[in-house]
Amino acid sequence: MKIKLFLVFLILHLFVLTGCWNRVELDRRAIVAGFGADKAEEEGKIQVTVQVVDAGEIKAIPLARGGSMMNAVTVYTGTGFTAFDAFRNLSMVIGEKLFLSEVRVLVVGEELAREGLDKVIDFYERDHEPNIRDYLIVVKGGEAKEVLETELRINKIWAYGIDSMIKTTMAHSKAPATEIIDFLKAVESKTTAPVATVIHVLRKGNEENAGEGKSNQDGTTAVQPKELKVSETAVFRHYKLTGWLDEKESRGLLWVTGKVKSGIIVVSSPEKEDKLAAIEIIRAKSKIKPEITDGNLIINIDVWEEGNLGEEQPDTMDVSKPIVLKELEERKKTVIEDEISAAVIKAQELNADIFGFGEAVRRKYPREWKQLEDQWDEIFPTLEVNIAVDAKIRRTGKITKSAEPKP
Amino acid sequence: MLEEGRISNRQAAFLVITTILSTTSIGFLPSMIYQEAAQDSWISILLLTVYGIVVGRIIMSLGMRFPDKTIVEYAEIVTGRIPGKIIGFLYVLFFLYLNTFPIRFFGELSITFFMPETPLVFFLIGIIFAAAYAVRSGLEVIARANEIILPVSLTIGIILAIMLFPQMEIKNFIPMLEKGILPVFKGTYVALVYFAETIVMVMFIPYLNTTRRTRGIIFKSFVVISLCELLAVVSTIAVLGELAARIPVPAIFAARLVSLAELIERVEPLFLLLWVIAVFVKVSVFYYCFVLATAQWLNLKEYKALVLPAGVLLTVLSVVLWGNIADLYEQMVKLVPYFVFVEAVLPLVLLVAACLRGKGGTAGEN
Repeated sequence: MKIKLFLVFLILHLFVLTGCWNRVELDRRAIVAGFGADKAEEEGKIQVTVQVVDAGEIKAIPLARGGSMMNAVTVYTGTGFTAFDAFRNLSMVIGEKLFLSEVRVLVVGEELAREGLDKVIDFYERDHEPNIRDYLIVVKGGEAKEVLETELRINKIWAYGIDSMIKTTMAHSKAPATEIIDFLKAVESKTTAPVATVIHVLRKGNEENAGEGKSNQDGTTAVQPKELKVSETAVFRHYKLTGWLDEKESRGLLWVTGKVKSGIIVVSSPEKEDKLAAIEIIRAKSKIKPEITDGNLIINIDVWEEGNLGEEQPDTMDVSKPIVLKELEERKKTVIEDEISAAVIKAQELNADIFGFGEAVRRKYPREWKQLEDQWDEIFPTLEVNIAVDAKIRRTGKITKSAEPKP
Repeated sequence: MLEEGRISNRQAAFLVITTILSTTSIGFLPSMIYQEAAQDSWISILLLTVYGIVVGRIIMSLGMRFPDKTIVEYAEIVTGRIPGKIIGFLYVLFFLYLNTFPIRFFGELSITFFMPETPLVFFLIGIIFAAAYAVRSGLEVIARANEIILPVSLTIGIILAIMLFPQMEIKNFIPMLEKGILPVFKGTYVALVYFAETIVMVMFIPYLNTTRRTRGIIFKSFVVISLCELLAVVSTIAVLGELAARIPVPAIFAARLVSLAELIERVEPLFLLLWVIAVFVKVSVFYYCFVLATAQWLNLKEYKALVLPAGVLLTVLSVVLWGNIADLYEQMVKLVPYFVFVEAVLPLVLLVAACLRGKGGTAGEN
């Protein structure tokens, strides 16, 4: 009897343990790798581009066989009144339900960014599938569609290629790697201006490549040979794009926010001004210290940086001498200060507190902040900012002097 | 006696810990507190701990005056037959009604974060069925199951917090008391209900296997509760900052952000596991209290016959009481005074009355 009951119990499990209600088998799922949003041509509508992974194509077709084996994705575009609407409308074309959990990059076209990212971000945050740790990228002078349609060599799933391009910004520190959650945190703050990573579409010289455009998986859209480049910073006020920082200013921003991980600083050699030396950044730290003296608000930025000499163009410089390194440190310091002040000036021009100075003041002077808070838009553009950089060179690589022809 | 099982002091403390922690630390509470107290939520938690200990002491002092009776039984002794019946009925209703919140919330959370198209009632039946089984098996079984569940869930919780460590920013807590002390009290207020859930002890005291050292139950459990609560609140605020106010379940949201060396990512199923087992205990505890209190109130000889009808009642109530999730949140805040009345004020009144009228053993605790 007991055994029979137990069997009934086991059979009951068949009904309970079969999985979720809305399960979709892997082969019936259209896995999205990259999500793009643009302003549609039709007024008031949004155009959504998705890069869908062809699950069968991921299993490597050997590279050596030639052909366009770099396509493991298909790109679809659709429009709708809101992002979610447009996204769901895509299923009309694709015939499968799209699955957003594997998305790694949210690409937004410049036009939509100028109109406001609120039209995309809320959906992205509210829906249960997307991850708000995806990267947020703005296309400078272009559309997200264009970016997602660009064939990349580094990864068969192109959007993941973009993802690794952003991860690599830490090697040069000329663009921030902004996750959606960072953007949201800045939006939530009353004064901080959000930033986002910028991507450029580089169209290669058309003459030699003309007519060589490769076709997509579906064989409909011809793709011009293009390249993508991740650099620079998009600056927002609340949800709206207001301006850009160039590479130098971008690094200035990263110095202040303490996000410089690595990169190269080029200085002129102390011995011969036309010769250059390249110094690799190893680590850096920063601190924003607001100070109120006699009712005047001053922001002090302290940056500490440590690096190694990575290259010098052969000249008479003898880097085994401490005094030479001192001189190089001085020059490096000037370059860093330059980058930071360029960023500060640009931010003040745009009246966008990308560094979070306001938040720093709020933390240190909560009482005074209550008055400053509402006038921050007037205060920030004329704020006095002191930059103090402490730059060190620790090592000079495997050799001391470079090889020189003996006179 | 309706219940033959006996539980130890430690098991009682464990039950209190799981009951309180399951909804407060990993549920909606950190967000509710944050909406009011912002970066000072942790001060609210400290205040709540004090409040919880005080209420717990009242409940224990009251219960230990009648060490072999539950509140439904001794309310009649203290206040007389008719008022006693009314008070008993109040507790019957209370145990039923308060339980619908975690049940419904369990369903809502599972739907929002994991299975948006599954009908709500499937989750509710699932958890209530499991709880019904536990309740039928008796108090001792619930307590023993919890002895396994609590350490497991605490371990998962601590692992989650450790995995979030790289993303924590201490600056989210500065400046302290930015808007004065008032928001801290407001943050304390919304959570009063949950920190007085020691009220379940009024049903458990007769089934403790010893009358000695019962004072420690409250204090020890609140040390654990307070620490875990602080861990939960501090780590969610440190990770999410101001985002925590907009997210009903910040802990699960934070769990989604875990990313260790690009290897350990999206660990929220771990969180779901923690949530399911902890809520299961909480639901079982209140379910049990409701069934036992009803049986005693009606002078029944056996409570097991009530388990299934009570389960049906719970399922239906959890579905029909709130039309949508906004309703649920609103009610949670609106009902605070009523719940606090039943959980804290009424026991205090009963305690004072019992003292004045000299009812019950004066020896009390220890």
